[in-house]
Amino acid sequence: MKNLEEKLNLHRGGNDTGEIFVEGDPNSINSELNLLKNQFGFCYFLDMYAAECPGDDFDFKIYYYILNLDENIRIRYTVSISSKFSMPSVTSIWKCSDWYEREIHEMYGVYFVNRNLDRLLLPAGCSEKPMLNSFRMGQEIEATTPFGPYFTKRNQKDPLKNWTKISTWTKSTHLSFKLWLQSDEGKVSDSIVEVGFLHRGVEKLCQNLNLFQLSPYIQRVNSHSLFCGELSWLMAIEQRLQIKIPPKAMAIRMLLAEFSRIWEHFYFVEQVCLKLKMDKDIREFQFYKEYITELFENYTGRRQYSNVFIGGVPSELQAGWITSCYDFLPKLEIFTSKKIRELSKDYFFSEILRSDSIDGNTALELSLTGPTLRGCGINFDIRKSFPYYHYESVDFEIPLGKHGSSFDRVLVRLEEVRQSTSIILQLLDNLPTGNLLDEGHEIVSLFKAQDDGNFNALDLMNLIDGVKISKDVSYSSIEAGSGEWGIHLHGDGSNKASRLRISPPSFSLLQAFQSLVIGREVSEYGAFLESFGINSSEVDR
Amino acid sequence: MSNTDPWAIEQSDFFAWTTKLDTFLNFISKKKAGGDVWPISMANSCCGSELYSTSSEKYFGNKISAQFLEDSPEDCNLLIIGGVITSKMALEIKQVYSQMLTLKKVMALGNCSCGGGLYPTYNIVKGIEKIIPIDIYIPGCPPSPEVILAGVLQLLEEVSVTTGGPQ
Repeated sequence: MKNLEEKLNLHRGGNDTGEIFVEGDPNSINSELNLLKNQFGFCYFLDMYAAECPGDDFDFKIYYYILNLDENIRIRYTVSISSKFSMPSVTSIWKCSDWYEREIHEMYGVYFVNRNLDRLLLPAGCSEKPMLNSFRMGQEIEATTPFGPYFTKRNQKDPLKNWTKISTWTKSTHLSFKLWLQSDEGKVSDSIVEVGFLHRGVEKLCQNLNLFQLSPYIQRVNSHSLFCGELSWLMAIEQRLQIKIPPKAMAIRMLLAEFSRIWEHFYFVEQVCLKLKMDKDIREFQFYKEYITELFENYTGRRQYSNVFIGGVPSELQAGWITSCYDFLPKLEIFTSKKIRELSKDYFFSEILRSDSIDGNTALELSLTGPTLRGCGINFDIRKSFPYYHYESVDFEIPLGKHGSSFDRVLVRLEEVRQSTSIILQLLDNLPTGNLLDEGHEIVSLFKAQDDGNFNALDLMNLIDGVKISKDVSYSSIEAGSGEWGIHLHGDGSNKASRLRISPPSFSLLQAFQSLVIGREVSEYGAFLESFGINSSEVDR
Repeated sequence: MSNTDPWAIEQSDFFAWTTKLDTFLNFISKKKAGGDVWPISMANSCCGSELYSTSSEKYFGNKISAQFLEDSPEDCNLLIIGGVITSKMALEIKQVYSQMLTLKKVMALGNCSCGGGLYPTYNIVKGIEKIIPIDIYIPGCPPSPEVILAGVLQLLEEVSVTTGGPQ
């Protein structure tokens, strides 16, 4: 590390997240990032985003967020640029930075040299830059042409070849993007993914609202999970406000998160089965999923998205709830083991899904996360590498795949369900005692008063408006069902976030799918797609 | 004219009805639908996931399985729109709607498609009725399977009762 300090202008982060801040020079960005990647092992590209800095000499700051997988150190590499500066592109170093750069260009107008800069999330014809502060909240954009100029140009260049359009929302209920495939003798020879059909502008909205109003929006970003996206936000805001939630609340949140993980894994395995028309398996998965939803509803009062609030959890676990968990979990484990055996033996299932493979290098290059990365044999799980809550003290293993095939991904998911079951049983056996809320904290105690019914509304309003976060950056991430779900929270000393970046796993997964689908059978793209665990409301935000 | 006249028999075999083209097409499409709904789903996000839960055995029984959602709009007479309607999505919805059968119903699922929902932002179409006519609104964020099922049943009743087309 000393070597690194000599070469780069870096300083350690104030918080204990193992984060290093580096101030970079925009002209030599390619050589410096190359150095970090090749000599110091920062090979994993986590995120890249821009933010406006109104008070400074520069117009924008661009953040590159990269990770060393061996030592578990993250680097926040920052460059400050003026709006007229042409940024060098880093796609030659990390292939996966492609969509990130396109997003920065369309949202902020930052120009990147030597690359296609089509609209990614917004309609192609619109010229507004919605993330700029000069773009007002009520303002609307104009939708003119649905396709980008890059796509049209490419289509004109080889108009004779056959492009097939697949609108994925008519095939399934959860994916909303358009897939353009060009086939050659039954195999995919080229592909374009067109996203942005669910772009709601959550990040823009979050910068214009009070910190305590953001929960419902961030919950709904991760719409195919019961709890995971929300947990990430709760951790981010609690870290910034220095709320220390009691051990019992941590355990209950972990329970909900693990149930959510099981639900998500079952959902995506079920989608794979749906694509292969395996009717019987679908019904079994649906039965167990529905049972988990019921358990979740019994505790939180909702089928999806909990009512867990900042500072802890609202209520005790009921005795009946714990008993029904003890009843249900052994059955779940038996079912999962049975399913693993059955699906491995199923000739049709395993033969189709085993035909593709992704090696570890490609996986890192494309910045895959979660079960998809672990299916390629790379051991990375936030729960082990950057443990939060009680994950250090519970006993569980991380299943790994061998070949990176769809079959491996399905098996990794099912094995993770078994591990989650064991985590839940351990938590229920050793449930900590004590408070449910961090009652020493000023804001949390007022929340509690509101919940009990004796509070002064004006007091609460004033207090919430008065909560300010410091001028600092923090990152908090959790292991959601399909990968690392992180939130970058920038403060500027006011009661709003100056920039809130949501970095969900599906964004890089869908981008990786675009290049990985090339060479696969056209008829089998469906199961291949579902095995990634992509959720398009996360991609578009 | 005697009964044995061969010309008369031939005439009765080849008689013709005169009617409007629209009525005829409605008749054919209604016959194809058979008083039942063939839904196509454009539901996404959380509404999509709840719609999917609704199709499970617990709610629909063995009548309609998980694959109750059809693939091609040409064969369908019920369009289920759920989740957020963005400016890009609005164009697609219009296109799918125009491809469907003449006698069709549209269901708007969830607060977002009913009226913009939580999102007062730049890319959102606030209210689906600006694009296409809606037959039934199902509110909720997201609506629970029981609510969705109640809506579907109400629509089924309406489809079996009505004789004319909605246009």
